[in-house]
Amino acid sequence: MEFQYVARSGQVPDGVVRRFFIGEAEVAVARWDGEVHAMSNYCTHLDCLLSSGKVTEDGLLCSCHGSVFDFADGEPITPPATRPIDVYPVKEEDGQIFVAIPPGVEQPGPRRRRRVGQ
Amino acid sequence: MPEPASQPPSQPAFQPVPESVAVAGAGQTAAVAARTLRRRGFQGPITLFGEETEAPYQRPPLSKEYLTGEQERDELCLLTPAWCAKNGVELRLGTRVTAIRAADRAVELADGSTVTAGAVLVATGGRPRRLPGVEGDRVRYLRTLADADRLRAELRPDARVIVIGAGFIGSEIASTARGLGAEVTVVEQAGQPLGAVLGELMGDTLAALHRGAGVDLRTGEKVESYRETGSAAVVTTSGGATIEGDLVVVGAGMVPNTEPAAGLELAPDGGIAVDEFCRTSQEGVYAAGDVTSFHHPVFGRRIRAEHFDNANAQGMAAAKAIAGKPAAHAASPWFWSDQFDRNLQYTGYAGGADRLVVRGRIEDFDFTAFYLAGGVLRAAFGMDRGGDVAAARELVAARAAPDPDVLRDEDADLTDLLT
Repeated sequence: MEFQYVARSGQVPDGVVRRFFIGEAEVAVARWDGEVHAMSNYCTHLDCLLSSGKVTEDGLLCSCHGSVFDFADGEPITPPATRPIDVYPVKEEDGQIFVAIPPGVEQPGPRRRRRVGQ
Repeated sequence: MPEPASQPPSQPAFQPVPESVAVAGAGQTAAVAARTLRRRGFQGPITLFGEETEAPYQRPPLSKEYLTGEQERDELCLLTPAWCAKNGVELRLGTRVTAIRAADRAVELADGSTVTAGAVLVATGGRPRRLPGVEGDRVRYLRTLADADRLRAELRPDARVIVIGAGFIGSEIASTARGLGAEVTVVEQAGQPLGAVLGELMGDTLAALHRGAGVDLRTGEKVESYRETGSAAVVTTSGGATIEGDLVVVGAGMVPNTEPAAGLELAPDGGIAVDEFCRTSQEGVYAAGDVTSFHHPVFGRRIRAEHFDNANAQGMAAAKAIAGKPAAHAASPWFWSDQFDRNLQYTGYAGGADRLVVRGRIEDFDFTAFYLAGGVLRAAFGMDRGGDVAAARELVAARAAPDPDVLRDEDADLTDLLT
């Protein structure tokens, strides 16, 4: 598992979530209270893009149906989602953000419905 | 038309943390309340009494992903047996609560027995409103998993489906049935789908969405008569049409299940009157979810919110109050509907609005409509605009008066209005 560069620190200001690609993998990178978090960009409920959502005190809010995922472990804090999202190791050095995607991570891709917020 | 102002009910003081909690109902609200009680450190026994034999499950997919067959039963489950065992939550299913004796904090059950508890939470939900005169073997309603299982087997590509009522449930069923290839006719007595809630322009937009998907939408028509022949359901409408189908699905709203709660104060709208902590008129008795009517401080009136988010929020609010950690529920009401490949969202209460400001393009079904009253944002309705509606939800709760030019400007960030 290797850390890979995804963005300059300034591209993800506090309270903001943006999406980035690492190869085929689509990653949502968010910052709350100064700390950077990286996770799968697909909501486990109906595959909406989490980068279209919102950074909140409790976690990352999916703007389609209101599920909230904990930044630290990806657990759904608020339904309708019942399954956690994958969270990825992230580090910030010299004004740059690096994310490590564990090998074998498969992303769901568009499954059930049109992805919202493209 | 101005709404009559309502007063917050006068409530008893918060009670000490009870020894045990009995929940009448085992749906979304009850499940969330049980989880929240445990998360907030409540250690006494918790018992949920559910009329259905199914363990608590999510209802929103029943008209959508579950009905199409894309989602399965286990994905709907809210409280697994393992979780209940680990957390000491007892599910008594197939057990209907017939009466709540508020003074004794007791629930009477259909088998004649009585269970007393330190606190009672009424989360009995609601049932579909029946349409008089529309009765027969081909008539369906949708509320429970059993209803959905039956309908799921019947919505075949060659089915002819007549939906009565173009509200959210009716529209979602129409959308699902069309998606599966069925022929769908929708009969709606109002001039537009949801016109009374969202106004004429948004109602017309929803009508265009239905028709664009191939639904035969008949607005402004009432069901005049209903009969069944050997091979078909036959609906005649006030417009003189005769519609034949294999199935009739009625989506005519819901009726709150307040019958067991005869000793509690009801609001004029029919729900159990509660405050923002889900307290009823009786000490130690709480109510939450579809069955309630609550005084909303932002709108200065009572709200009956029959949707998922309110079930969660009130379930949490009731649990926190019971656990001795009260936190008021006063967020702007919010709900979604997925239909015809669009994600629809609505927040607030549009009644009394005097100005509509649109961001985005209505003709592309990609927009948010903002409802203002005297310059204050009261509600928003969006298609594929969850981010806008999330921002609007906070603005409504803050009673903000945002600049209409900013609302309209696609380049302006709505979250900037929150600061």
